[in-house]
Amino acid sequence: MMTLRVRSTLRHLDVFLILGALLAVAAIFKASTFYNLSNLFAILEMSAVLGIATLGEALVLIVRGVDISVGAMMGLAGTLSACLLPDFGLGVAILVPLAVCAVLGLANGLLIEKGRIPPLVATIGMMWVINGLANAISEGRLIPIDNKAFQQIALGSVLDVVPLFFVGLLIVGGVAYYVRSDYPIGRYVYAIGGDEGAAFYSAIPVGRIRIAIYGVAGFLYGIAGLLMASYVRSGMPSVGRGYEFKAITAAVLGGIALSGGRGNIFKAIVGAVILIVLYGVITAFAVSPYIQGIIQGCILVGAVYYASRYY
Amino acid sequence: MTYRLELEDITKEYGNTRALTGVSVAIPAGQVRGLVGENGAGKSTLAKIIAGDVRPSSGKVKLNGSESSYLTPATARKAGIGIVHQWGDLVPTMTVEENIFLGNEIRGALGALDKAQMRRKAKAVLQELGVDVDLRATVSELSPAHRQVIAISKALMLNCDLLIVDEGGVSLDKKETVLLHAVLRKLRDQKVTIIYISHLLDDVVALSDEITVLRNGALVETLNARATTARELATAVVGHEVGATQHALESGAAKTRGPLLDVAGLSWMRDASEFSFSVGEGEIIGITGPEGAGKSELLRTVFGLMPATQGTVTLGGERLARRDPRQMLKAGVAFVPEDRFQEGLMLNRSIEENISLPTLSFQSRPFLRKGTLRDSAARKADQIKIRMASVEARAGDLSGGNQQKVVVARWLEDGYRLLLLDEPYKGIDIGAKQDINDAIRAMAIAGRGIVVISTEFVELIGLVSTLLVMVNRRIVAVLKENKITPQEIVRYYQYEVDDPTPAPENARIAPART
Repeated sequence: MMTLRVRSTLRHLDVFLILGALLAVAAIFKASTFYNLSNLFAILEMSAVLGIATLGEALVLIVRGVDISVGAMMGLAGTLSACLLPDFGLGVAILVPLAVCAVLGLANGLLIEKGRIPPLVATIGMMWVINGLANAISEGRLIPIDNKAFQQIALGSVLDVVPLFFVGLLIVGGVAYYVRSDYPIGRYVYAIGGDEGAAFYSAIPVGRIRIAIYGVAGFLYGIAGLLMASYVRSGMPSVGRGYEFKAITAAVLGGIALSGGRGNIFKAIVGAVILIVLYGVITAFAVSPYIQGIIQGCILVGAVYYASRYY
Repeated sequence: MTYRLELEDITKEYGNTRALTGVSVAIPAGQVRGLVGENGAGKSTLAKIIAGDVRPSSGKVKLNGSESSYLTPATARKAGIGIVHQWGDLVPTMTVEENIFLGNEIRGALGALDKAQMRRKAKAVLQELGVDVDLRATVSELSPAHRQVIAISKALMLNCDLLIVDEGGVSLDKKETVLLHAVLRKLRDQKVTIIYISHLLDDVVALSDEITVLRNGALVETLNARATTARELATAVVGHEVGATQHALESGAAKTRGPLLDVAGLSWMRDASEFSFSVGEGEIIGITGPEGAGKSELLRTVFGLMPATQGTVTLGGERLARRDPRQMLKAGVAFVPEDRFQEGLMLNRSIEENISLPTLSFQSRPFLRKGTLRDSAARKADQIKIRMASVEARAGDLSGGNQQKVVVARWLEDGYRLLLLDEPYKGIDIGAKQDINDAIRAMAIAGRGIVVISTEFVELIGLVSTLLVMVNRRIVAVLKENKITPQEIVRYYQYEVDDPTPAPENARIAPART
């Protein structure tokens, strides 16, 4: 019995164990290159970007969907912001991109729910449309951001090492966890992914919730995009390329089931941190960037394999 | 006397077909009312009308003695009517407590969930029902009986005092059935009115106060359960006149030639019983039993779609050790699956392509000879009387019966020895059923062995020479030739048969007690 309990506890903590192991490896072999202020700051900053995007993707996966428009939305948000900053100021340059991303997310949801288009197809289509929009706005160029206040978004920190947004991410993750456990809407989201028919019979507004989830996800991708733009001090349509797959990988690594209805949002965020730390460790070992792709692919498939066998 | 629910002269038409004709039922408060009938007798339509899912075409509904407009799901819920569907009420990935209150959560301060109160209420309800289930357990871990109880608790949380339980006893074993009965009796004692729909006649007789029998969409009679045996109920369900359909047996199908298929000690679960039966060349055997009896699983295990845990399948003296669709087709065994939409037909392809599909892998040349394929498909379509514009028409445009004929037509000529059909009569009209049976007879006369599985045993009477009756994943009876009558069959529809020999005349199963 004892071993059973130990095993189940281990299973709950698996993501933290993986994270700990990675950090330990870095500490033993590459302490000086990995554990210095600027590297840690960069890792936490990128964790915040991916973590926020992963949060959106995880919500979508839980209602048995998938969203491929993550990277395109991030690119659009940053580009829009860079265009708006000189003429309209900080407030507009933050709120407008977020609103646009939320609306595009709702469009994803409407296509899927009302148009009955499979999520994969709908969001791939939207990915191209959104990327096209961003390119049209920027005319394909990188738009530098000079606004000091906007640059400060990414630079703000606690004790010089933890970016404010990473703290924000943990807070958002905590809130998400609390909503899941303490509000009906949390249960409804999981019920829709777990068994749509049963959710429908229980008088849950399945369609409206699913559309809203895509909208919230779009909003979150927008935040991730703005943070990225602030960090690289420019708006660039292609800045989020590949983030959809990173977000899916992170969510699955954190135990979100691709079949919907299962998984802990907070662990999904930890999954994002693991992925970024892993990139950091790989870089510290000066491994070829080509190998990175191979490792990332293996992680995604391996995580799904693990999840399908042990969850 | 005022009744909790009265239905007067209810008729329901779907297009040209009548699902219910002038049905009147009156159910007093605090009664368990059994509702029985064969497939298509109108049980589920009646249940849906009461739950508000379906609007009757004509007739009156009265609740507690006063006339009500036709119910909708929302007004039915308000009027205290709850339904436990055969499946699909619970989210398997969520906990017991989450499921009981799903869509009906109790909120406390700031709209947050009042978990303590929900836990208390859930515990109280389960305790009242006399069931011990961990509220934090995931529903997918529960036994089927406990799942039923959780679904019932969920309905009770909506303050319902009229509960419809649709096929609650199916796929429960005896112990679990006893548990479910105990729970429902407790509810009845608290003046909850229960409508209990079941295929298992003993189950209904043991639990109900009165039993309403439907046949072909019309009310046959309402019986006092205490004065009725399962056997009498069986007669009421199938009617007297059906027994005489013994005509077609004299056709050549009865002449069996040599042994063909031999299934010995086959099983697909560690705890399921072992199955043995054999089929000769030119022999048609049938397997029937209520839904959830494991008929499909048996056939799918024989064909290798489900892994067998033990037992052997021998075809013409040769043991088929590795079974999968390709190997089985090579060995000469063909399979017509139950779900023609998912597994049987390519709806957006032509009738010709659908009929020719399995023969393609048998031909030796690399290119298709379209002319030959078309002629052969047209010939087969003609033989089984598919009503169509041409063989080029899309299979998806055909009626259900004609679609089923397309699936069966595939196997009219080509080189195979044994045909397995899973529920070939599902959702098709009488004419199509006859055409399919004619085709099956023709195939048997050509020397093939045939196994037909159907819940609608009336179709098997006069077709098969041997009929296996399955209940709860066991073969409970093997009926031969003139023993195959509806009354004989239905008397084996009991939730537990300890001894496969016929029970004594008045062996009504006593109401189960805890």
